[in-house]
Amino acid sequence: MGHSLLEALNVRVVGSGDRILVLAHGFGTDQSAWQRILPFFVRDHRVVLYDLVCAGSVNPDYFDFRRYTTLDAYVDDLLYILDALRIERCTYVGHSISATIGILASIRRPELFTKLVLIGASPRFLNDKNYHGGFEQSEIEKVFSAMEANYAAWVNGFAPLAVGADVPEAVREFSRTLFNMRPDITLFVSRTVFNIDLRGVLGLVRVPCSIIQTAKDVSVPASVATYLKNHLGGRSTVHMLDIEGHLPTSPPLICWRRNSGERCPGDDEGIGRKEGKKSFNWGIMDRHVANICGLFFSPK
Amino acid sequence: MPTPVSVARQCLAEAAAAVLDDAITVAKRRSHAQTTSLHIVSALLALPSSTLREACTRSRSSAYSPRLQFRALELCVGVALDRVSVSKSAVDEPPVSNSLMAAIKRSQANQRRHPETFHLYQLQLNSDSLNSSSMSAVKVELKHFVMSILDDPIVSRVLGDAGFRTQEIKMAILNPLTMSRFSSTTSRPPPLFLCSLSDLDLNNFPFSEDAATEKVDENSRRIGDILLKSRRRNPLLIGVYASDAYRKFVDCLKRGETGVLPKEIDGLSVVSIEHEISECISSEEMMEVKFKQVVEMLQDCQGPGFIVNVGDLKAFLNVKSVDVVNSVVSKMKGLLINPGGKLWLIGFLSGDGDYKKLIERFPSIEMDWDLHLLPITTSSIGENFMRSFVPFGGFFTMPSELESLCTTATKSSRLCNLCNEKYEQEVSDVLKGVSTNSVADKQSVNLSSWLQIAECETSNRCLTVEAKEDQTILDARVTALKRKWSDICQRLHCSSTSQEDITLPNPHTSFQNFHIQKESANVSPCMPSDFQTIYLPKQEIIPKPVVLSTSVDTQSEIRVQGLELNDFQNSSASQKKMMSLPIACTSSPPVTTDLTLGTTLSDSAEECRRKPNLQEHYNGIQHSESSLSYDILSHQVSQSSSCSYHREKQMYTKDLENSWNVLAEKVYWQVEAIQTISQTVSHCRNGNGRYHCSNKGNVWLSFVGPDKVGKRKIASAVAEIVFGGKEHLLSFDLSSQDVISPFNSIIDCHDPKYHKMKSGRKMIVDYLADELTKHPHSVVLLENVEKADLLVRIVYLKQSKRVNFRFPWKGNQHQQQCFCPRIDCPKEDTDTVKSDDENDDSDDSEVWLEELLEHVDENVAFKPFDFDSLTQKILKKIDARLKQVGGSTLLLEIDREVMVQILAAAWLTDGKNALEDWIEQVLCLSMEEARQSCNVTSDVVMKLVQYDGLVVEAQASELCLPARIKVK
Repeated sequence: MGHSLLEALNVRVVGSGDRILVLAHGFGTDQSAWQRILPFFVRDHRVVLYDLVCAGSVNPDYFDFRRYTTLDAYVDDLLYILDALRIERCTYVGHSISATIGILASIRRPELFTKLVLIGASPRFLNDKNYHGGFEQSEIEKVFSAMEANYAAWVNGFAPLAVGADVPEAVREFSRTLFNMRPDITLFVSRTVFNIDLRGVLGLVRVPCSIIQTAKDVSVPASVATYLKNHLGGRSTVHMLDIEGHLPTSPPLICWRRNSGERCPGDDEGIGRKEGKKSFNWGIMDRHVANICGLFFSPK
Repeated sequence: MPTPVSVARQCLAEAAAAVLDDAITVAKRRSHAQTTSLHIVSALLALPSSTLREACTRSRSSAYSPRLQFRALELCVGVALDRVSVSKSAVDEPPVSNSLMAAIKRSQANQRRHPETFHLYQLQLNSDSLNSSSMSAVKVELKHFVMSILDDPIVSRVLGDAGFRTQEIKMAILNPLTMSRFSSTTSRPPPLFLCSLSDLDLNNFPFSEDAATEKVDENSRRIGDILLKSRRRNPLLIGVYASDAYRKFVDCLKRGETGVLPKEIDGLSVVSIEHEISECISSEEMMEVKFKQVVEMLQDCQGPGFIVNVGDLKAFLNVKSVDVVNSVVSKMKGLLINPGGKLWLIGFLSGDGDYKKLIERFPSIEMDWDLHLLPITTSSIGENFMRSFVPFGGFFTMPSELESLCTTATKSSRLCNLCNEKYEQEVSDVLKGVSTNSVADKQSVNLSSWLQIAECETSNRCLTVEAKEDQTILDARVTALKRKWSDICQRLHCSSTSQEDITLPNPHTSFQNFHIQKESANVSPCMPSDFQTIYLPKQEIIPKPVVLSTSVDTQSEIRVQGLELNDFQNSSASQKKMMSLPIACTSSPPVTTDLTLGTTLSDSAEECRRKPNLQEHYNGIQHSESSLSYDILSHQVSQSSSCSYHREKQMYTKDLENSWNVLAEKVYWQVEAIQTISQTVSHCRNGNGRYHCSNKGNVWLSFVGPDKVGKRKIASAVAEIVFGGKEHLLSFDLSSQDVISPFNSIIDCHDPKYHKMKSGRKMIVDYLADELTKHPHSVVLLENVEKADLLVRIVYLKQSKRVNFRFPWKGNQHQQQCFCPRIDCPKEDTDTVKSDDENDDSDDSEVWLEELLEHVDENVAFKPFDFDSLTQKILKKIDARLKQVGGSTLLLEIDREVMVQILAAAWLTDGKNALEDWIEQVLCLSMEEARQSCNVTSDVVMKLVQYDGLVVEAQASELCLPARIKVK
């Protein structure tokens, strides 16, 4: 794909600053998933956004069914992008599948990453002896059959589960991005994801990691975060968010939480308007967003 | 939540919206609840010149005539639409389905992504959406719309079924100027998408025939990449799946598979010191010998070199003396630093913990061995993963849950035939929610009393069935049933010889089958070989509508109700399909004629018959009358089950004679054939058959000659006579590239047996084997044996020679190998056999056929069906009737098409007086009606023509003709 990979994967670099932040979205969404997070970083970061090749916003013709059978191919894409942008050091924020991609990328090129922020990451989704990944093989097969039988029904059933909280807007937004994906690609990627097992390689990670895990995530049991912390090779910390769902960064979810959560003085103007202000007041931000964003950088 | 039509329409530009409207009409006409991508395709194809049609024309395979392939496409679309369930409540505008709406959204996104493309090709449309960046404002142009529709798996599947590749069609849409996809990229207009066309791997489309099968294992590919590097080129695989990937890679090399490695080092050989490494603790000598061997090999090495596989390096961790390992490491290091760079090393560790330990103990090993760490996080594509590709073939089909449950339930059973049948019966009952008296309850009479109690409990639990079943409850219930029956089976029939026949098709086998099927489809220049058998039969009978037009000078058109064909299929309500089989009337200019009715009719009929065109039709009906058509009938008589024996005996002692007579009456034109068959069957039953029956009780008959319908009728009657029911007939059409004529489709779908073949793209043999394990007492009708492709022929021949017709190839490794190698035979070889028009009888196939015919118990000759006399008979009947109705003042002209239709119906019908009844109750009544409506008493000429455009509402009983004729 050559140079066009950057275009194909809708790579965007926004903001200015010395520090570089890479935001990589999770399964079933695209880079729009970061839209509520983005404003907090553009002031003093160069933020790199891109879409995974499996995202609905990417031309499905690029999805090579032979190549993307393992996550390594996704890692290739990520590294290609970073190299093409001549990025030498960056903080990488990966959600869900992208967290896994980040882990693998950091094993291959540890020098590229100052830190990994892993949101809803899991080294393996299937249960095994002495390991609780959250899914039994038979359950997965059922999910796959459901997807094959009626994709629309599956999406409509899965989206609320993944979002966790009862926020119709968030469910709708996730359904939208899920529906944007070509169904066969969704199924294929799901199979790839459920096939992975990073347990034997976590120790090879040298980069410090921040593991962000929600209290109740339909895809990742809370215990997985601890597992990651114990097995990742580098210095790592776990941050449990006292919220539900696999998509803590979902824009509508953040909106909702902001609106329903504790309000701070001056919050009425809305997040979007804050961008232009010179001094960035973390105090007026929603606690949840502050949590997430803050965590990206908390342990130095 | 489907989207309201108006919302969807807003997203579309004018042309695309028009197509959507057409699709909605299609959906509405078929009473479908939602408008889907399929409806769009149907609407696009209905247009005489649509983007899709043109693109198809340009991308179609040159192997078939365009007419044929389009016909196939229409059939496939029709069949796919027929599968969509009918909604109960009629909707004015069936809303847009989620998947279609998603396609619209995708095309919006696509259009937005590629404004330059859009600009290039849609200049004339200067839509304001061009500069609009807002998603909602983008009005999707038809081209982009069609492109997205083609992405829908169900659409690709349907197109694939008809031999089109969606990817190629897309190319054709994008490149209106290019004629061939093989033309070099330089001669093309500039690439439309971001990547150049060469980047787009055409074979890479998920639903293309071969993409799913020829997956190169990604792990192996990565290993290959590492081997190419100049430094750190010796892969050390790490991870849970490392040993898996390692084995897979090494095995591929050992087998000498090409394509695994990059071209530069293709042909790399393998030296295994795995064993020596794991034993190196105990015997250093062994290690020495091995190293010497490696050195020698290195000196003689001709090819790209070889790779030493050291296996699991954990062996080094278990060593007590570090020195031993150090010496191995350093010796190996010495070998690896060889000038030619012809030596590689590969090993694995299953976890990072072991790696840490390894580095701690032998800090230099990574450098010395020039190791490249390769984390392996995904299992190599084994059967597990490959299996996941299989569903793509049937992706988005909408199988009823009951069906799928039923198959999984039955497939997993490991029961004797008898128990399996009963088990299936109960499962289906449970699934239907019918509270039956369990057969097991009756069965338990044979059990001891304590067992009986237990059994009753089980069955009672099973039988509290509520109307609405939860899937899990159903599952549990089926499992319980299965357990029960396997218990019973073990207790009662553990001695049953047939037990091994119901081997579970293990995943590996079924994968292989899948693979083979694909291969064979590739070899075949035509559509997938099972296309005919699987899809065509499901095509509804489409009786050509009949129109009665009076020759009175009235221009007013009277719209009368169309006809519906729902009942025809005697299929379940869920399968109800609306037939587009309308009857309407046209007004024709007044005709004056002084011929009497009778003369007119016979004259015109005669004339028609003389026309070669009609003869063609006859041939169509007759199904290649000119060439001999061979069909093979085989009775599958089970020797193992006592139950069938009893039934057979009953049948024999009872009215066997009578049954044959009834058959002879029904298929009156093949009396001799029936006699031969009845004799052969009874001979064989007494052990006097030429070949097979002497041994196993199987009877092989070859039906030689024309008259497909007669053969089928007889075959199903034989099933009824011998095994007690028509459901014991399994029909297979082996012709791989049959000409699809409407008449064939009429004939094919007439046989409800053919509807069983809907399960997917299985190979015929697999399907047959499956069916036979499920229903061992069967009559198998193999049609068009002479047209069977090579693969199938070999298998059948093998089977017939094998004497035992128990189809052991399923799950039988040996048998599979029998025909696997044949796939590899040169393409030309198979092509010559397959390119059979009338004269495909190359030596090969003739020999084959002769050989096969030698091995049957009897050759039964079939006479051609006498259409001429039937025509005369029908005309006479109509004539006589008309005289009663209108005297000599009424003339009826029957359109040729209609006549053919009537003939076909008469040939097909099982009802003795069905045609007569139709003439009386439908034709004559309509003529009467027509006469009254135009209110003319003088001489009238009426014309009976077919009309396409209205929906047929009813089917005449037992007859493939509309139950109403529209009068205009």
